[in-house]
Amino acid sequence: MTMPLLIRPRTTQRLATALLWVATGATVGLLLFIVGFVLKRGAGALSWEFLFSSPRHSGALGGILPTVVSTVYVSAAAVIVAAPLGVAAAVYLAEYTKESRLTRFIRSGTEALAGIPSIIFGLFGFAFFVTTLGMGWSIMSGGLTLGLMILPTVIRTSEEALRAVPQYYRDVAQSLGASKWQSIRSVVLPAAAPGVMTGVVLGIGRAVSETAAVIFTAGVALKMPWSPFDSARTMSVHFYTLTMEGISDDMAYGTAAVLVMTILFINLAAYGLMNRLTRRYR
Amino acid sequence: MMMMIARARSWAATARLSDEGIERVLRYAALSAVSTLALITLFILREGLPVVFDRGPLAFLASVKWAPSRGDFGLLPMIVGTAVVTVGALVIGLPLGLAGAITLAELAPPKARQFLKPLIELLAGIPSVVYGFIGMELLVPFIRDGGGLGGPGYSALAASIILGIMVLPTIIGISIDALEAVPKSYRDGSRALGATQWQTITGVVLPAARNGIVAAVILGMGRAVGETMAVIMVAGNAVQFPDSILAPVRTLTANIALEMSYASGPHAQALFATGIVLFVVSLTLNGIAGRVRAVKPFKVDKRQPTT
Amino acid sequence: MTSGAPAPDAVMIDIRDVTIRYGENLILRPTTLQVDAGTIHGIIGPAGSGKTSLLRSINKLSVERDGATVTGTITVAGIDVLSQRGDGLAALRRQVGIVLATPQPLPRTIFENVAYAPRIAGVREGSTLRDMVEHALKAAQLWDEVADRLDLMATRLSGGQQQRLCIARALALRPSVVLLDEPCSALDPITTRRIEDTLVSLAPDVTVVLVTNNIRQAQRIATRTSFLLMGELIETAPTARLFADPAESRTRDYLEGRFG
Repeated sequence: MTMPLLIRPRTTQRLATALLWVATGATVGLLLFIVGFVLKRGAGALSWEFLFSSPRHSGALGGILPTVVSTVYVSAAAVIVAAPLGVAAAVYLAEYTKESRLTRFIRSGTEALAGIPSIIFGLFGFAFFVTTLGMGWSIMSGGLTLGLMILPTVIRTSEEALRAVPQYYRDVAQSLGASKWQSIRSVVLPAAAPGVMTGVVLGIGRAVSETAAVIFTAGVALKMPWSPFDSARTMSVHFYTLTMEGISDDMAYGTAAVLVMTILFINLAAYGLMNRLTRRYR
Repeated sequence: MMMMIARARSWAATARLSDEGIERVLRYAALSAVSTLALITLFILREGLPVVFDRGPLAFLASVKWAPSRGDFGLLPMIVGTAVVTVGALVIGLPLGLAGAITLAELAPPKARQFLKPLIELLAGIPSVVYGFIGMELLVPFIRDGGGLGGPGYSALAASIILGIMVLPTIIGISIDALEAVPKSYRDGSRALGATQWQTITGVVLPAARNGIVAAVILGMGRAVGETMAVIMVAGNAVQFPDSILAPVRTLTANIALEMSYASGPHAQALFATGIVLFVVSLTLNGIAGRVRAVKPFKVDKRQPTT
Repeated sequence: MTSGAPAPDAVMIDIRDVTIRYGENLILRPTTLQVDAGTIHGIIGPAGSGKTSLLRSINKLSVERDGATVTGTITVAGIDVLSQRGDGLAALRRQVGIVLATPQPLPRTIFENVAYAPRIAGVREGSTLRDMVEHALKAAQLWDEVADRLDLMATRLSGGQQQRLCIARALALRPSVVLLDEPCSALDPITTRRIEDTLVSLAPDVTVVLVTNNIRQAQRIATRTSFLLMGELIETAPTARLFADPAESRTRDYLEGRFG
């Protein structure tokens, strides 16, 4: 071996490492830039009045209150659908079955559902909830559609959380006279709660940021919704409309800032919950 | 104390439902995702298939003309448009994503990883309308004026760049899982033979994680194919075969979202038919990713006794 | 309930022709064994001899939790264990407490750990619960150390305290049998002695089955001792005789440290 051959791998190593870090730095920089840009440009429009007053002139003036309320309602409806179903499904997969053809079938179905584009959920929700079931463009239609869309997220995260609970919790509970379900209810689920909550919170995040699936199911009515069967325009949809119809750049930036801050908050909450879970079993 | 008593009561109440009954209820819940998938399939097909049979599948898949008012429903431009921006997204997203995954899984000290990983996951949480908006406000003008590239700015290039960023969390997240699944002994063995870290990564770790990384790329493709709002906002949406990456394109998703609000009759059905194409592509990509991921490059024979 | 002094020499646990399998693997060959009421019965043998599986079969935990197949009959206080399901099994488990190898408190307070079994059994009244917790903690000789901090998370206790808490938890419903699976394997000698004292103090009221890797422990406190080797019950005898004059050469080899 000659000297140059000995040095070259080290040079390559240094060069490659530097390039990798630069690429990663670019990714992170991009993220910080996007968030920073939206928050900075939107800061001008932000005020309590913006959040808590109704829009005028299609949103060119005034605030975004009805869209905030609509977002809360639609997301809440989605969670009411997805959380119980998803957690129950996860309990079945993690606690009641061994790997079998049925569980593989359920798992691959759940994975496939996770990969379906949101616009397809929009089409489906429109054909099924809005038209066939006659719910019209409404909080119900939007919430149910989003609920089914975030179902895989809730199932997957909850199943992981349940599997992270030490086996002996179940041994102990059942050896003390608890039935299988009692041991799950009283010991396993409480222990897995932070992880389950992470899944639910991530699901809420997806519901809040979703546009394609809600626009054709919850509709675009820019007014305060009063009943579950009222049409509602969520923040994301409102933001999309403001932008595409060129109604007001200021209002669009303001709405984007609120949206991004909401998502930041939701992700922080999910991250905090996840940390609590991993700390517990370290 | 009240709470303790209330809790005891609720436990006792659950005991009344038999374990078998509860198991049955849970099993139905577990089938909810599969049932949803079946319902979606049913409704998309029910709404979309009639017009496909009416005009013949070729009129959809092989025709270049999309003029709903005249009953022309050729999807080929949109299929090509989707393919172009998806490939474009991978050209941008794959190197960046893979670099990010390698950095986080192999190079970054644990402290940095703990901080960077959730940050990159946050990328996935940002609403797609916000990506689209950033593209409209910054990228499109830059392509049109600032970069001297010309064209309308709203283009396959703009869509590719935005999608390339949007697929990063998918590619990074799943690739990291694949890299972390490579046994530590592989790395130790390689380093013990005198290989540098970079040689170890390219020679040992990446080949061992190959399947997982391929799955990550395919799932990233699925994400790009299915993205709607961000693409609509920057792609220009003209129904045409793009003659350059600076020309506007329309994707399958954009086709549905743009026209759904006013379509009716055969036109609406044609949009559902667009959905069928999209649905089949998504399921296929997902299926392939699942298969690829399930194949373990380093098989451990479990029948051998461990001690 | 059968607590209180049982008739001398009454058989509390009757194990007849019991085999245990995990799938194709035979873990325990046909085994017959009686445990007298109110005694401490030691089960010794090297790792992998089937001790734990046998112990976990006495409350059917091996079947329900580990997926074992158990044949033969096991009766505890006249109740056929292996045929119990649902409520019957729950009732049986209230009569048969178990303590596992490493201390395994539930992630709750000291009070809630001990109160778990009574709550599951439907005890609601606060004062009754407090009495039961106090009695169990006293029986496990932990009361003096924790009486003023019952709201402390159980995971904050020391290892020895946690294991005595687990014993207290198993005693909360005043069971007639307590099964212990190498309860001191993770503990230091002084703590081990404390737990042995606790077990001896239980003995007249409670039948104790003690699986242990530590043959000296069996020698110190067991009334009778069984020796298991590779899924076979080699012999059972009064502890003093087993150690002084084993009937089987394999027992002697084990006691003298030739294997295991």
